[in-house]
Amino acid sequence: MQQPVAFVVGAVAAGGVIALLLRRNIGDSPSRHWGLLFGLAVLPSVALALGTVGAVNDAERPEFCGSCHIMEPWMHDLMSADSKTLAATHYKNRFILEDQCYTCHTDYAMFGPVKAKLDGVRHLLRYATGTYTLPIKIHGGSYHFTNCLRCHGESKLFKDKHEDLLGEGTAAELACLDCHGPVHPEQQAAR
Amino acid sequence: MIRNESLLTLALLAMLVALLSMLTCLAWPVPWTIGAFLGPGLMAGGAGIVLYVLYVLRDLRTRGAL
Repeated sequence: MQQPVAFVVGAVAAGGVIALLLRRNIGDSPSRHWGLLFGLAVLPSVALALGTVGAVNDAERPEFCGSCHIMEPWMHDLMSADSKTLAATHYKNRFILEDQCYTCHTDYAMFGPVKAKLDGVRHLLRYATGTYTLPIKIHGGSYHFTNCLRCHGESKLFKDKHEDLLGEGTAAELACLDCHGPVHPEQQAAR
Repeated sequence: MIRNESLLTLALLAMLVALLSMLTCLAWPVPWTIGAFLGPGLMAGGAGIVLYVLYVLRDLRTRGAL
């Protein structure tokens, strides 16, 4: 379990709600009304807020991304020791220690994480309702190269090897994936 | 004092559904449990709060405080 605090608070809140259900017709004292306020509104709200944060954080793990069966080819490639794709290379060499899918698919901007989480909720809804279309494509049509530069951009190796490309205007015309790749296996080949 | 407690019962049941869906999601974080919590679960929690507020307002009106 990744979120023990949220689970414990939620369990206590659920116990409180059950107790209130069993005693809902007893008396009309101030303590009963305080009990309702705390047991039905305050504590459950705190628990649900913690649970929401926990659920969204749980959804950052690659195991979660791979739990939708349509992602199996990507996960199979990611875990493959023989794969030469960028995703597999990053994964097996531990270039990114955890939350590998989420790390690369989160935009490098102030609201990048929020957008990534909203995208995740959208994916969940699409998957749960079966409203996705195959082959699946990256939202927005292309991968933004600034996400790569978040890690690579300031490294000496990157600067030394890309010195000729870092001139004014050139970087905006090129994307990392124009030269490097493939990132993931081709969808049809992977199926 | 309100004798008809059906509004309160509904509020408590809705909140219980929300909390149980949250506990399931946290104990077993797979797509359908997370989706069930973030979708219907949170909606049930919101409904529980709204029903509780309605219960309180009705109680206050019955007592002549509103």
